[in-house]
Amino acid sequence: MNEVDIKTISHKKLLNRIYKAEESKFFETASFGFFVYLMTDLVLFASLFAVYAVLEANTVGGPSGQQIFNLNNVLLETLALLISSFTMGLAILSMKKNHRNKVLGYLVISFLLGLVFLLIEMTEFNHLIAIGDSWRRSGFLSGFFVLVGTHGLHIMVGLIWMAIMFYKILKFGLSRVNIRRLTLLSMFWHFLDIVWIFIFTIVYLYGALGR
Amino acid sequence: MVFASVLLGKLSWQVFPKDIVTLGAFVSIVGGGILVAAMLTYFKKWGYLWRQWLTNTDHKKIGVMYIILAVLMLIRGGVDALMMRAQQASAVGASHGVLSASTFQQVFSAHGTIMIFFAAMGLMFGLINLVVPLQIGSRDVAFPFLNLTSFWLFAAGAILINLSLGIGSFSAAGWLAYPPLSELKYSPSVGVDYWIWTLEIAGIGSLMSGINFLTTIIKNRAPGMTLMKMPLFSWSVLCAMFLVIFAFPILTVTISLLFLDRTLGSHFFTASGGGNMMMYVNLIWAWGHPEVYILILPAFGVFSEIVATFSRKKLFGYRTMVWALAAITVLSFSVWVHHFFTMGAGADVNGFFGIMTMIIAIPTGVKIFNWLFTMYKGKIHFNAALYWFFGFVILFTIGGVAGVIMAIPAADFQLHNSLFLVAHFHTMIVSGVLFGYFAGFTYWFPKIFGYRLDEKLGIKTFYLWVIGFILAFFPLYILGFLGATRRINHYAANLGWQPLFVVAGIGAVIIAAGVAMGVWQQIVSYRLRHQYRDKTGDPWNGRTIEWSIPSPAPFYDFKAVPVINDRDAFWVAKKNHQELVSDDDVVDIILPKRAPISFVLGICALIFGFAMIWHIWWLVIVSLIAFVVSLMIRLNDEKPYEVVTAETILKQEKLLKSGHGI
Amino acid sequence: MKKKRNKIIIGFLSLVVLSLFIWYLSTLNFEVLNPKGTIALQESNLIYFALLLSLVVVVPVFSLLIIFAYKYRENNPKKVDYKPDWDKNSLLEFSWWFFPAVLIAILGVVTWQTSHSLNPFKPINSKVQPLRIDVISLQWRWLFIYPTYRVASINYLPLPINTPIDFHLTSDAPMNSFWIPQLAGQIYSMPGMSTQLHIMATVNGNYRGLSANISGLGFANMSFVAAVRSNQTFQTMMKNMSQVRQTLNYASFLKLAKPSLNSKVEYFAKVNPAIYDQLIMSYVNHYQPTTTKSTNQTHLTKIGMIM
Repeated sequence: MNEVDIKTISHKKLLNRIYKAEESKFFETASFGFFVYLMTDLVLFASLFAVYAVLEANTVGGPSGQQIFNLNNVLLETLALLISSFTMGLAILSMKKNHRNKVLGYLVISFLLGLVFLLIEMTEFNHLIAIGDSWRRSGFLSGFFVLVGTHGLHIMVGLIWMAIMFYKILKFGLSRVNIRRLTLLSMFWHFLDIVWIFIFTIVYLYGALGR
Repeated sequence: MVFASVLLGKLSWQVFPKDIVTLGAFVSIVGGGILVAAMLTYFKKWGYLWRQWLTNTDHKKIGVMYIILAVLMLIRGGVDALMMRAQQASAVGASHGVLSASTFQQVFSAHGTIMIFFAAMGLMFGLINLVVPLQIGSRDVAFPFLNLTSFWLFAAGAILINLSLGIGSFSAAGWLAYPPLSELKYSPSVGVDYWIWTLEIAGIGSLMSGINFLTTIIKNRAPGMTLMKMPLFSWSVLCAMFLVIFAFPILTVTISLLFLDRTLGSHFFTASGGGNMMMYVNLIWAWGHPEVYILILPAFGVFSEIVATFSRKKLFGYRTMVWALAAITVLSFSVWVHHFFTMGAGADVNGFFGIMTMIIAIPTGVKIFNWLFTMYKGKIHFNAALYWFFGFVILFTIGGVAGVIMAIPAADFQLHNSLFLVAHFHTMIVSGVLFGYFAGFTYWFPKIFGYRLDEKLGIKTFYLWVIGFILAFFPLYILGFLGATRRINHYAANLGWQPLFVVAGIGAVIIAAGVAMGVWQQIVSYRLRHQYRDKTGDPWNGRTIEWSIPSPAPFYDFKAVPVINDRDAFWVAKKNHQELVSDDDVVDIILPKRAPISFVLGICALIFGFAMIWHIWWLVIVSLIAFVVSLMIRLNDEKPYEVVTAETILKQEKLLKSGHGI
Repeated sequence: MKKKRNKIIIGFLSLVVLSLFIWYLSTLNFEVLNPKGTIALQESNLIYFALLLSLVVVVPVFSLLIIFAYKYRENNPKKVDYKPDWDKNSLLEFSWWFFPAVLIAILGVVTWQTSHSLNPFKPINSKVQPLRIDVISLQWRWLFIYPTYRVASINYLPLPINTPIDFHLTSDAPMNSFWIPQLAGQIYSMPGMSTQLHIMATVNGNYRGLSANISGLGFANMSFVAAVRSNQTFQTMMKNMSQVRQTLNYASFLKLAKPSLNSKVEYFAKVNPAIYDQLIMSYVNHYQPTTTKSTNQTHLTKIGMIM
């Protein structure tokens, strides 16, 4: 194999120059790659939806969705997430205008709203577990907890990512890398919003109305 | 006691294997590892290994590492196969054979899992890594760090499955672990957990590779290379990666749910409590069927390149080839039920999926006819790579006929789960997938290593494989008609099956000899590497641009990326006595840096998997945190590239021309 | 000379081996292709049909491969055409999309028809009243319950000749696959589910039955004998079985269902035929004894529903 010693020159200036020239290509590749990743995530959620649909009727004596869903909470969750998605969009707009502080502000709002969503969801889960209606109870509840929980887990990852982005932008400003990563984050966040709309309709609305 | 159980989870002194076969296997693997480590230390090669290989993001090095690991796993899975053959050849009537029932069941479960996930997938990703960036004129993959991380996740999975030999036991529920057999109630040991976490980790690695190569092919092609000017191997990889990104998430979901059932007491697939085991069977095959097409499509691509090159002729019917690939890609998602017609889904469902299955035979047949007519009016040079193609056409067609028969639900009722089925899918996967990758490896070997493989030994390897294959699997077709089912560790003497099993065993030994011959071919070729040197970079009179660069391919691949005007760009350039690029086109470039973090991530994943299997919860948390922190450290480096100046490139080109590098 | 003699010896030896092999094969029972019942007969005919139809494609592929490889080899002393740029021909390409499609269309029609006519859920047309038998796969043996006669047996399955048999199958074990190759193709038996298989035997004799799906440690020895007898003999057998001392109700069934590698034949009289339904219900209602009717329905409706 190729044993010739690889001698590379790490002149920072040269690196920066070439990197800059390739930047837009990296950005394009990264967004496309991330989009493909989101597609795989979509397949993942689609599978979980299918599982939920199969198991929905299997309550084996346990409660059905109608009995346990609290639509008020869910409405609150939905609002929090939708607005959060909106403010994330505003953050991206401010980013394009290069308003660093506005970006930071919108990030904080999006983060807090996401946190509200997550807290409501955790309260709901806690309550169900406390009254004995956990995922162990029935096929239906297994499907419910895992579908909604997987979305919740994604939200949590999004929140951690947002916190890191906040710190990075605070420290390094709207650098090219930060712009790229913030754009990907917003894609992720909007995607989770879309998934939630499906959960909201298929799981909660249909469930609560008892079809 | 409480302290110990928190610290060690389910681990205890009881977990070490008691039967001599498993223990022997584990000891020999560990011994082999220690031997290699000792040799590395003695020759002071650790630093070289670490810098040039383990942490190197160069796609060619990653490809080679994939192939080495895949071959090791092929040998491991092959030893499993030999043990199964030995058991079935001996366990008749009063004799219970060489293995206990539980060992035998672990052996066949491990064999299937290892061969599909590590041997076949490893060879595939290895070859893709080696070839695709060279073929499409991209200097590396779209995400080099991700690529190396995928490899290390793959390696972590491989290590994990081998750990099950020495610590605990492996799953005894078959390679797809149908519930309720794989549920806690019927499989209380950690075997199924080993299976789950091996696939979870390796599967996520494969998924990431899928994203990576799809992006690479879509976004990083050389200027001028439109999709319809892209070589067919790259096309086949594009289709396969499309399948990966749509199929592997389903696998991840399915086995995660099985894990939840086993560990947290949920009811997804349990027989009671509102679970649905048939959902598992549907889900796992909704991944599993595309999976076999993921493996076979790149092999089809390899054959397309080889037949055209060695026939010295343009590939016949390029357009139909692409359409056939696309058709297979789409259709492969609509046939999964044919794996379980006997589950009782009803006549309409069975009929529909049976017909869809047969329809896939049409584009596959189209490809075969196109290959045959590529040979028509060509000048066929009988290279070892082409021998694999001939073996493939003959055996694959036979296997295809068996497949079409089983696609008829009512006929499948009599053949399902029989050895006929086993013979069928081995024909498809060995003669299709393995032969394809062997051919591809022979074909592209000079480009990566700078010298050709020994031709005669290559042909001998081929004959051993084909003869061994026929002896090993044709008796299984017969046994299927005799009503012999798969996975039996024992059968009655009066059935008269033993001679056929003995013949199959002999066949397996001949295949093993074929593997040994392949290894011998490597050794001989390496010793004669100066004689077999590829001086021109174009040993086969190639057609596509990977043959336009010197062999072995330099670390920057192309001194300058060529502009593509034709499907067979290099062939056309040669015909017109042109160079694709000249020294004047060479500019300063940047290449990805080494990525030690990828290795660390692999280690974290390995520890995480192990901790999950043995319920060592504190270690789960620690490894997760380590994983995330390592990732952060990596992402903190915002420009993980280094510069290669035009001067360096030109110097290197000169060196390669004067014979350096092998 | 020596080489030629060696060739003759090798040729002769391979002829001997081949004829020995054929003689050996002739001593075997090709159960799948040696049907003794109406369903198995149609299924084996179907296999032959598909095999012959496939040869229509196999023969051209093999001959073209051999002819092209021979004729267009690089070192062919004869001068043959070489057209390096000939890479398309619409007519040819159309033909190998079209003709295989026609074959598949023919096969598709047959597939559709046979998956309906040989659907295991479909009752067999006959003037004779069908006999229902409940099949329960255990770890690792088979329990056969004859509700009409209130008898049951382990690993022994007496069947009346020329009578449609209506098997109902479930499992108190992991998935198994119930298969008597000479009488009919297999069907899964699954815990908490009920599948069905209709067969009719046409020749007296003892046929091998087995489980074709891995279900744990003792799975390989889950074989049983399907004994097809004349109606009269069958009735006598039922009568004899109804006089054995061992009885079977749900409580003793649960004991019987415990994992066991003992594959001995056993008989039971005074069998409670409700065991079958009770067993399925025990899975469905596992969590709580009281349950709504609709849930039961979901599980018992034909299992194709989840598709």
